[in-house]
Amino acid sequence: MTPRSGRPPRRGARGDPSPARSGTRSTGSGGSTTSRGSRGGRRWRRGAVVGLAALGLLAVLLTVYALSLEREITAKWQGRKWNIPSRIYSDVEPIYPGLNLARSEIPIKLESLGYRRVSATPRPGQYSRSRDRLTIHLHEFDYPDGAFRGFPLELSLAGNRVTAMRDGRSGRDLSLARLEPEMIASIFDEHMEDRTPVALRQVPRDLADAILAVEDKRFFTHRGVDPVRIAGAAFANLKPGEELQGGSTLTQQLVKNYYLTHERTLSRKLKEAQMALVLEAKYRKRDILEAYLNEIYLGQQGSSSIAGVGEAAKYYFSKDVGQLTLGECALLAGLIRNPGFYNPYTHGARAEARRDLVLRLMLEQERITRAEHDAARKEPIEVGGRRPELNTAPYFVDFVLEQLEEQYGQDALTSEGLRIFTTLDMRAQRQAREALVKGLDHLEEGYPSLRKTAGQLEGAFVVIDPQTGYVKALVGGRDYGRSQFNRVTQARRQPGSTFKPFVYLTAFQSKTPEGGRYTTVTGISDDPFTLTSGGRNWTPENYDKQTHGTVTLRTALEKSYNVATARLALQVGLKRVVATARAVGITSPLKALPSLALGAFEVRPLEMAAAFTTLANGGIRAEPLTIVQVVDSEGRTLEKREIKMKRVVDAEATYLVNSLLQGTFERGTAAPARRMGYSQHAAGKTGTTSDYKDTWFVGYTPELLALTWVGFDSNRPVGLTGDRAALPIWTRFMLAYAPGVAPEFNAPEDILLVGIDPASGYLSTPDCPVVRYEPFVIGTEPTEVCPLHGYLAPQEEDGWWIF
Amino acid sequence: MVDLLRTASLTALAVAALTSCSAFRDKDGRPETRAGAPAASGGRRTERTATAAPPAPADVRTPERTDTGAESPKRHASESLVEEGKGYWIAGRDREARERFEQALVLDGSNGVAYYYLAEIAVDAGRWDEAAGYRDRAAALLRGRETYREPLAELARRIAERR
Repeated sequence: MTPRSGRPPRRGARGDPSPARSGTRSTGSGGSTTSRGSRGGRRWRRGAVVGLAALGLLAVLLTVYALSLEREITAKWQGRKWNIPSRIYSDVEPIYPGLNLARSEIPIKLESLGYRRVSATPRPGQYSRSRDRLTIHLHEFDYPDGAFRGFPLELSLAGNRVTAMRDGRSGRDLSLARLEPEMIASIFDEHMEDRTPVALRQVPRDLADAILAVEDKRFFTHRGVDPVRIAGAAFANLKPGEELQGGSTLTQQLVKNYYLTHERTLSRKLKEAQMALVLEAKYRKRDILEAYLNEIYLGQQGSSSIAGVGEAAKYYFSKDVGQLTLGECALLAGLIRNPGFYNPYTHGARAEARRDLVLRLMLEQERITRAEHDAARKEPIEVGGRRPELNTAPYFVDFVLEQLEEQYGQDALTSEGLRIFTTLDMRAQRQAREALVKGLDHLEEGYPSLRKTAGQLEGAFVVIDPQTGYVKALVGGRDYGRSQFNRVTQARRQPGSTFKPFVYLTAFQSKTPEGGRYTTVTGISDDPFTLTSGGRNWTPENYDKQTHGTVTLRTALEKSYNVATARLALQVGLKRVVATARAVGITSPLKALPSLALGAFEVRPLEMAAAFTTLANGGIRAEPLTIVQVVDSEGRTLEKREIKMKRVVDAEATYLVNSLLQGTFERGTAAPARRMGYSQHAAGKTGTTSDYKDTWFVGYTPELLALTWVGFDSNRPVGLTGDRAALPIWTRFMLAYAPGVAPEFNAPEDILLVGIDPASGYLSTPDCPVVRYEPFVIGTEPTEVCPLHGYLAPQEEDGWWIF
Repeated sequence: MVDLLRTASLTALAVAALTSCSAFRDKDGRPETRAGAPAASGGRRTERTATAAPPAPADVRTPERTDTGAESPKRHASESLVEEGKGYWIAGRDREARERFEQALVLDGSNGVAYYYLAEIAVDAGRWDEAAGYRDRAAALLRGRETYREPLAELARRIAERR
């Protein structure tokens, strides 16, 4: 007999009392003759001995089998009972007086979080809206800083603006509230089971009663197998037209789901029964019931299954299990038999009928009163809003997972139910993705040559709050389904002209060859030059193929002149430029070569974005953050990542660079953004590599930075400059996400604005036709007035010179 | 006559010096201190003292330095988190305090008071580089808030001594 297979013993195996063997004796050995009766008695005794031995052996084998089953059951029971997927969450959504709901994410979030709109007083997971009031009954949520008990949040409105907030339960005025974060991903093992574990004490009695009523009313009296139920089911199934009934107890169902495969064979059923008996002998009824409530299959969401009542309560009703009504409990219990068939989302009438059947059984079994039964039957079935497909931020999730796997391992992520809270801003993410995808589509429509070769035009978009380092959005490509390659965090591309600001930043922290300080109006020659090094010549060239004589640093950067910038980098020293790049956080390999000034090295877009946040934040670098906190399934914090910042470059030098980069919107390569309707005081830099393979735009205000990259994965030239390819995508995003007035860049104390004639770079006079207020560190401003206009200009008509 | 008028007006412009100063509000009084923290007053100033300015050129303006976000709804909401954080900080519960101050910054990254208290926490924890970064941000954002001038100077002194 082979215990594990459960197959019946084969004839002729050891211990088998084969009649062919017994009774064969030699009678010729001793010569004595016995009577027929005594021979019969001896045969009987031998048979009895053999039979007893066989029974004994069978008992031993059964015992061994039972012990092995027990070991199998115990090992799995006492270890982790089931794998709990880890969850990744977005950032919270704050609500406060003064907030404009039309500009916030709140209306979309209510739907994403499964809140249902009702006209009556909202219950948990519902909201109601009138002209001057929005009431949201907030979900319970386990935040890292503590469990939150939901309450009705009442918002007074004037149009779309929140004028006041209060706790509808206590009446207390509130200055700040939050909508819980959205779950943006679950991390499953190969079983793909979505589960929210619950303890038995958290499960409403009505739910347990409903399940027992319909699935196993004698649960507390049988020993794991219910012969009465088996017989009843067999009899009922003989009747034509009746719904097929199962004879399995809850214990057997648990064994089937948790320990065994789902093959429908007699041997598996027998093993299931045997294991059920062992389980019942070993563990308490309440433990078995709790395990069942967490294990039972209750439907499908996409590719993952809904396992257990905790997850089912969230999925079907957007509630915690403790908040379910009697009718909802009955509906969930009714789902067990066939979740797809009775799914309330798709088959409302069947779900209702099944619910009513469960309620009737509960009444018959005296688990509820007639009044409770009648009231529950009258309840309309109100399913929660279904969670949208979890695919809003796949590249961001991948980046988070890369960091987590390194630290915690794949096994912990798929089975230990970690909760990961991130910096993702869902509104920024949605709008970034839309801007990128629509922008690339638009480029292909406008420039059909971009479609001609194999390989699709691709892009990357990342949004960072420079003041905290929070990565608010990350779009690593046009279509995650087609390509999971993350162009924000994994691609290495040449930054081209987007690197130039760091040359100027170096200059503003350096001395000129004459020993003075570089200013925005310091002149630099844009005349051509050639460098010879190692027998090779390098001759930088401007995009317009022109040269421009001596220009101010402002003009050189606003217009992105290559020649002037390369000359400046050589003047200040390439090693110093490398040092500046390192200070702002560029870690990619850099060589102190002249082409460095023009961005002829490779860098990851996230690295460039983070480097520019230093400029946006006044010379202080806040480390980029995507993960804020990791919490285990018990609510203990495993990791908390803090906002960290450090001054890495001078505040004054940074302010000067920001001033130049603001000028790109007025007079330089970012001016097309103004024509698209963008009017904020942002700073920005276009980037195009010399072979047009990479196009960039990085733009920022003190509170928001966004970077766009457009190109081909195959490195084929795009043929467009940054202002044509990348800038429109950036502008579209900024207009959608941040339409309000951005603050000005904070000027350090040692900065003055001085009226300058841009034509000469000297102090303006009343006769200068154009006056621009240039920032200077005190003591570095020009002291001579403009020689081109006004009182220093020769007055030829009358010969007078005005000093 | 025209020449005379032109000469007179140019002379006046060349001599005139424009100064301005912003009027800053200080609406929440002095920053909190807690037992054991050095007294804010009497500390040595460590901010760089500007050198004597050259004779003012003809047309000089001071950049806008008003905290334009001071009255914004999100600043008010952010301040409520700062108040919670101050309560924790005074009670010595630095972990909870830090969480509140960081949440305040996520809501409004221009809230200089939040940076100030993060600098205090970092100084108490001996994280000097971090403290310097927070202090710098606080100093830039709280310029003009007289009640924070001395405490910021004191923080700068403590940081400079230990770095």
